[in-house]
Amino acid sequence: MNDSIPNELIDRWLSGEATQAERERVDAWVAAEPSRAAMLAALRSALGRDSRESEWEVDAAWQRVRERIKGDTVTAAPVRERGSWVPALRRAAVLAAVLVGGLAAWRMIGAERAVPAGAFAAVVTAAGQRDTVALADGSTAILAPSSRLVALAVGDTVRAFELSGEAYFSVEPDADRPFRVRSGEATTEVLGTRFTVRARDGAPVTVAVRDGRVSLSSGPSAITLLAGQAGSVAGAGAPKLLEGDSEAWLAWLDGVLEFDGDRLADVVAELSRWFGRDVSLADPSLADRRVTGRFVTTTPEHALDALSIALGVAWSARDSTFVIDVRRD
Amino acid sequence: MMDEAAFEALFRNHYGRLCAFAMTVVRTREDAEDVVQQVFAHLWGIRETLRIHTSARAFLYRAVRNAALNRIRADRPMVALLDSPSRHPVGDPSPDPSETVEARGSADALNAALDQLGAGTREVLRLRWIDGLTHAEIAETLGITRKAVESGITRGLSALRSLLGGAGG
Repeated sequence: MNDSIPNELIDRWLSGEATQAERERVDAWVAAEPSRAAMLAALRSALGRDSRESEWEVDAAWQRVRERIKGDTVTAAPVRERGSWVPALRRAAVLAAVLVGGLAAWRMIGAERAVPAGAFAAVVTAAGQRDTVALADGSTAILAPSSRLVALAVGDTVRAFELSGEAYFSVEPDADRPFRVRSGEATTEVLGTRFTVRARDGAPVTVAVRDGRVSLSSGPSAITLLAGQAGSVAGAGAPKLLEGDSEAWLAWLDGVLEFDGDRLADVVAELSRWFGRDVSLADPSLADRRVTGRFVTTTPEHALDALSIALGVAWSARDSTFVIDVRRD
Repeated sequence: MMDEAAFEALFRNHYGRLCAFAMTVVRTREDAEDVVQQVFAHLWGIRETLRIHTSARAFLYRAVRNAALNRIRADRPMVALLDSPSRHPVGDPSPDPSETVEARGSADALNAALDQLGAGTREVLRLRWIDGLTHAEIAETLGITRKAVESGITRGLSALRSLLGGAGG
């Protein structure tokens, strides 16, 4: 029995790939002869198992890495005019929010502003434009192009907003003051978390959660979304949990547009919003073509090149607008 | 696209093992930790453009190995790497009560066998049996073919098997 252990099994046992039954079999084989255990211990030691994982102070190490990346990114971020579609600035803003949080980080970037709770009434972004609003409670909102955020009531007992368009919220925890975002019939309520809300043109309102938990309600029904989950509300219907990861809904923060079987007409509308340049279809039959893909949205030309390759269409620039047409060659 | 939460999870999952791995190349714990932290800081810097097509683990091991080798090249350019078991410092210098005469005998026999196999094979065996990497991950980490990985493991198993089979009696 002892000699029936194949080499391949010893390999799997050493590498941690063995099943429970296989492990027991090899363990018994090792235990049958004490020198085997000594030899295997010597093997591990000779190959350099001189530290258990627990001996490394991962918390302290993580703090040091954070310091490094924080310093790198903030100093490397160019300060530019706010309001236009500037990926580097937006990335720096997101990163600072993620890494540091609070108002100090926003001031460091130099292009943001703090809005006292009482004074903030509304922020509107045009096509091709974005804005970051730092609220006095420490929360922040990053508005996507063509969006509108209105403060309904921000006081001692509640923080309530209305959103049309799309925005990412990083909410300071405050158990006494729930943070609510209303979009059409849908209400998103949180205590402290980060999430994005998309409420565009009669499409279902979609909420995706990066961390913490969020309550999504419509009329009498409500669901709870956890980190990594997304949910939606269509019209006055009940909220539904969406299949799949929430990250696709958060991709716009990283300057990425993601489409999954979307109509070209909708994609074109999205590109127009992002770049503030009119993009249209020369041939209406193109509207129903489906687009699946991921675009890093540096320039409209870039995105249109990618589309033309994916769909076999042609595009051209006319004055300040872009036109997509069927390829005629 | 990697956000900070994903990045932190990656760091926490791999930090200890990568430090232990770096210790097979550099001399001190401080250097090992610094090398691994440097790799992660760099990784964050390039995350916008980074696309890992195979295994994140293999990517990390390769990056740490390269950074560790660079570190010691800067210190001592002509040192033969990875082939001397005495270069592996042990975390706790006090004698282990389980280290009997027999254990030392095992260690001597084993080191002799590993020395015969050579430094490259030893590195393959380390990644396989201590770090638990797959054959494909080891090939990517070391920049060698899968065939070379498999041959190294086979040779290591034969050597180990003769020691295990022949010991005691």
